[in-house]
Amino acid sequence: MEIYILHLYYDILNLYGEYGNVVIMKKQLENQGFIVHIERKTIGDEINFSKYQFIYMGCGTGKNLKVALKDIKRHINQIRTAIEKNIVFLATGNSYEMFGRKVDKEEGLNIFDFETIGLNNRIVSNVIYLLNSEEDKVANCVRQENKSNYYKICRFR
Amino acid sequence: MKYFIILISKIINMFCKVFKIKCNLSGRIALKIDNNILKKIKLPDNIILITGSNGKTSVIKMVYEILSDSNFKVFYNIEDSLQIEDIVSFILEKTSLFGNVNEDILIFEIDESYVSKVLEYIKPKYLVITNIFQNQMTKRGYPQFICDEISNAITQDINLILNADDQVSAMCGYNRKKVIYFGMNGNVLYNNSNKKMEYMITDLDLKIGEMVINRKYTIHMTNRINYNAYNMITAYAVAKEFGINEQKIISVLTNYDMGNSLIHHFEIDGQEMMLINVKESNPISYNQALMYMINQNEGCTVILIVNKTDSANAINDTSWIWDTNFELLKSDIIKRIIVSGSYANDLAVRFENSEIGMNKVLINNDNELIKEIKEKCIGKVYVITSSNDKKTLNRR
Repeated sequence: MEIYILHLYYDILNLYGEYGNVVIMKKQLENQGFIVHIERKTIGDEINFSKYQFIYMGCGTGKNLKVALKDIKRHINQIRTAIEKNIVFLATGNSYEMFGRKVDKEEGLNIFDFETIGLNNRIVSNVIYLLNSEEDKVANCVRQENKSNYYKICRFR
Repeated sequence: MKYFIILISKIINMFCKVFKIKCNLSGRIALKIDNNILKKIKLPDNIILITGSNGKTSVIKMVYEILSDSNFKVFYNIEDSLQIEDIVSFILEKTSLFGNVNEDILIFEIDESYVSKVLEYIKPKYLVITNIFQNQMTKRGYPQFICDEISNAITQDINLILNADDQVSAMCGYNRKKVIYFGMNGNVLYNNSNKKMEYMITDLDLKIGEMVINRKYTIHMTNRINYNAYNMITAYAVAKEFGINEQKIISVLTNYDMGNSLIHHFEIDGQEMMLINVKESNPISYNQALMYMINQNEGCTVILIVNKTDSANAINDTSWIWDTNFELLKSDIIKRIIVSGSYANDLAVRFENSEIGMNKVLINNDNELIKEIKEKCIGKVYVITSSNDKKTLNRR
């Protein structure tokens, strides 16, 4: 079975070794018998989103994110169609901010109801999530955070 | 009041020296009593701040040698994670009881993320930025962010000495008048500079160990590595700005030995080895080490020893492993790779998922490293490790 993965903005949204996520995904899928095609696209490229089953975007600098955001808007219709067709998007780091209403003053893709608001300070710390599973088990999840913004959820659907 | 502070800090510094405690207590106390203490002391006009991800210490030491050779009274401070309290401690130590610092030139090594903070307290004549690379996630931010921070903090009257071949360093000079650039002529890797370079490496031959500056001046290099050439051109630039004659600078820099920093020959049980010292979790440092080995063009074995350290910034971050261009190890010159230390498995995952594959990789998880070295090594043996791990290696 073949699978097509799109690594979007592979060059400008690649902070802290994020491309490794795609590399590992490919290897794991190949171990399970898939034939994996990874296509790397960036600003200005023509993209046919319906070709892919999985789309990945990594983390970038604040400036690079703004550049990516300006570019990604021309794909908005294809992205909405892709989501409706259950194509999976994985956006790590700050790339998911583009799916909200706004990133600072710049308008986002408006797919989710949240805004990203910039701060003057950087926050570097650990974040702990408590996950409740269906069997009532609680797991602790710790991750490293290095941000200079916070999120405001507009409406929770 | 300031005389009181000076006296107190000298007493504290003496106390720390006698009991061999390394601390910035005097600085902390001084700032608590009077946050503006530095403004009340007569500092020399010539203060140089040197910042950047790599090369600060090497550059400062060379600048010190050159300036001292020309009879300037120079004091410098090089320490890890230099904060404002450390600087205040240092200055107060050098301050006379009359409130003057009697040196001609003070040089400070500053971590790039502290520059804007330090500039609130000190007005240097020169700010040197060697390069700014991506650093651990736990430190205060990525290069562009640091460049913005520094640019906002530098006033127009500070003279900048920047690396035209380092994008971020070069960017800090944007729209400024008092900027001087150094770099390498025709450098394919980094050359993104349209600016005129005052100080240029016009020729570099690492095989015979010679570099030429501005087509005129030749320096014989003891440490034949690419970035040492940059350290030298940086020191040259600073010295020239102080009006030191070129011939005098060259006479100090020629055959100058950077010391223990990078490559050591040593022997364990008759097996000859080369230790390449890298900066912990620093992709650029690792890349340089890997390129050095490949450039030697002789079949070899690489032993990567990476351990968790006790430093304040130590976390389980492995992103640097992916930012490092380990694909260089794919080369046929590398016959075998042995990974050891607490990050051994993370490194193995990296290789397994890359084109290197696991065929020539061995994971060493126990303390039998010496035995493994004797049995499994092919060709020349290189050990790549950071300075903290050197002690562990020595013990083994």
